Amino acid sequence: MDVSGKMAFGVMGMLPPTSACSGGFQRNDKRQNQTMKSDTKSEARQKSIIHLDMDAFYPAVEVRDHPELKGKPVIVGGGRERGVVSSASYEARKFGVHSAQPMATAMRLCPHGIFLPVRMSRYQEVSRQVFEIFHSFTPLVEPLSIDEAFLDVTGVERLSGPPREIALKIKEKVLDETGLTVSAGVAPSKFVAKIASDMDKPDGLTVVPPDRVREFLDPLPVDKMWGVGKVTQQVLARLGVRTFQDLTQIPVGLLERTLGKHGAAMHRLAMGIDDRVVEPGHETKSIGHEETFARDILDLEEARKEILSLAGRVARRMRREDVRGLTVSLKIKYADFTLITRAVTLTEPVDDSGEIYATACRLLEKTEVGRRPVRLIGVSLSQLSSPDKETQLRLFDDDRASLKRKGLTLALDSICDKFGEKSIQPATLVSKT
Amino acid sequence: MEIKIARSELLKSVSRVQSIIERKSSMPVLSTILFDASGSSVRLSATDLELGFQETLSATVIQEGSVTISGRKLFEILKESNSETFQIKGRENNWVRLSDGVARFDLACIAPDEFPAFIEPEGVPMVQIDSAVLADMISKTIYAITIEEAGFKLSGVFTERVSYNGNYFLRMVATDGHRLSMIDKAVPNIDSLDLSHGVMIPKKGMSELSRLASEGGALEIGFKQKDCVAKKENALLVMRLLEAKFPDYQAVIPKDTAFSISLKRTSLLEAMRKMLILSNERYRAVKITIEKDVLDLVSANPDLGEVQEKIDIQYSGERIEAGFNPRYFIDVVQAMQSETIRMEFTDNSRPCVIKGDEDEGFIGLIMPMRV
Repeated sequence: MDVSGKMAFGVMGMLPPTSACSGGFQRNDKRQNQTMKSDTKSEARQKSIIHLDMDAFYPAVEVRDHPELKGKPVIVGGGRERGVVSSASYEARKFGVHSAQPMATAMRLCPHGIFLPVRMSRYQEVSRQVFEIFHSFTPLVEPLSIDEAFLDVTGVERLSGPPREIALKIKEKVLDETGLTVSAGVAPSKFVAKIASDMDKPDGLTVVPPDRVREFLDPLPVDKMWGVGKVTQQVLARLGVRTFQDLTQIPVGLLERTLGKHGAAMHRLAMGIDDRVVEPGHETKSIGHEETFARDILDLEEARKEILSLAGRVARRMRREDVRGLTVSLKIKYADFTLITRAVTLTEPVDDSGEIYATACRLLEKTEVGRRPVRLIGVSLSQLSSPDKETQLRLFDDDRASLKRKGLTLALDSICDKFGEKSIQPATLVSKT
Repeated sequence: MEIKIARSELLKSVSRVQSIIERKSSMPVLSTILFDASGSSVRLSATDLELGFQETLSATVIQEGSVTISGRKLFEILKESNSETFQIKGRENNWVRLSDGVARFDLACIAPDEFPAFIEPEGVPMVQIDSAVLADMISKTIYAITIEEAGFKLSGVFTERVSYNGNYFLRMVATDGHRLSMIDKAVPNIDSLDLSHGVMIPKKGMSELSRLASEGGALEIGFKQKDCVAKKENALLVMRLLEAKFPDYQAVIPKDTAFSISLKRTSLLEAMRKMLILSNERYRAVKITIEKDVLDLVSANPDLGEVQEKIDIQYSGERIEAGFNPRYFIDVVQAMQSETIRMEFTDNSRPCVIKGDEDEGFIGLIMPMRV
């Protein structure tokens, strides 16, 4: 990206007190502080949003747990042959390793890297700690993922100081309590805050005051905008659009004609208009598991086996979180990376692995699995709801039989919880050794 | 092929098959209507491979032969025309010319030999059935079929022949697993059909059959292995039967019920419609309480509020309380004709049974909701 453009406006770049900051932002420090002063007044009616993004979260947790890894290229990801990189430390990123990259590529790029498996439960534990810190500043915390959140700190100035101070305090507290660094973006909207947090990673703090939003956005390349991928970028390039500023100068009508509704939304965002509010306690929208295979799956029977295992895991997580799902989705990535999903909405929500399995198998018939090699299979449930107080009774369900099954399922769950995922599983999934 | 035909006749037939022809199919020919002209008539065929429909119309045949025409386009063209007669002429390279004396359409069409062979099952024993009876049976069961494809096994009307009291009856049963509707009608000579094991007629086929029946006239039906065939003087409908097992429905029909009330059908219908106003995906149950001459209906939605209605009845039994989905009552009661209907209950985990004197042979079951 265009670094010189970013620097020229010098809207951001605060040196956090807790660590030495990278790059040339220190140079802009003075100018920055002046900017801050000029706009504290106008902030009264403006919203103050902070976007917080943990720096290389998984590797950072690993390094914290294993200090001897400090300064080494740490790569966390799936299986060696076919998995993908979940997250890479900054040291590893220097070698060109990045998330979603096939593990094999990462190993080629960074042969001396420390390759570690994903320890999700550990990351979740640390994530909880971090979110607790976020919550100590405001109840308006909208988690975006395990390591990322929006905070609306409008009106908490009297309690915790101006937004920039709050962001600094959060960074300090996170480092103190977890030993991890987090990058923050402070802005009057979610959109700008999210872009800002990414400007100065790792351990960054970028403040975009309300009266400098356009100044901040204008020079940025359009691919910084969420949802602008290669295709959209090409379309925009044809219109002569490279930066946000270029985008604001294109008539909305033209954008709408070429890019549809998305075009108009992009125009608004480029102008810095984003009224989306921070929605605390964002509920989980879907629960799913997917598996990338060490070698392509060629036949249906094998695919069904994988689905059985995935369905079991999904169902168990649903029961643990006490939700049921109405829509079952099957995701298939063929060997050539073509990705398809097939979904069906049931008449009543389910949390039973047998039903999820049966439904996913019916969806499997609508794919080319068996005729085309498959690299990845995923099963997920969406339209989640807590088991209703209202339950429609069934005509053909022998209640006693279903109660028995419920009991069995619960017993199996507790075995898995105690002895691990593979301690008890359907016979078809027990691999021959 | 070249024919002259009365526009209104043709329009009626073409609009009739709009629901059969495929909108977006991988086989473009399935969106067409096949015309076969011979003698002094033309036969129209439409199919989606699961069901096929043929109708023969009288026409002036100038030259015998076949063409296919896009069903959707032909329908639009016929609707826009004001002329009495309409001419269809097949030309070279599958071009078809349509003219009504005012406008002339030249359409690029698909070769008629690409149209799937329409196999009329031969030697199928047929039985005449009163079309009003058939239409009534379908309208009283079809709504209970699962709408979504989720309930794969229940996406049709189970049809079988039963006998009791020394008579043979045609029986149709439909269910989505939560409610069930069943109707028996005496059909003369039905014993000559091989229906003792029951078949599943898919929903789309059932609604086509219902349309055929509601047009009146004498109708014949018959079954052969995988197909159900319905014939009218000029029309033929062939439906592929579903290969699915139907649940043991007889086991869930209560032999006897503990309590029963009678009330005006329209009162219940109107009350249930009101209950539906405040319901949504999450909160849809209506709580029914029956005690001392009152049927009390309450539906509450924490997001919106509450609705209550009391209906006077005659009742002196013990208090009954149960939750239900009002939609199911509306479906059943709407399809019935009786002035007065009877609701029977056993307890709040067993189905409510609905019957009506003027709805002969009909029984509706609705499972409660646990609230």
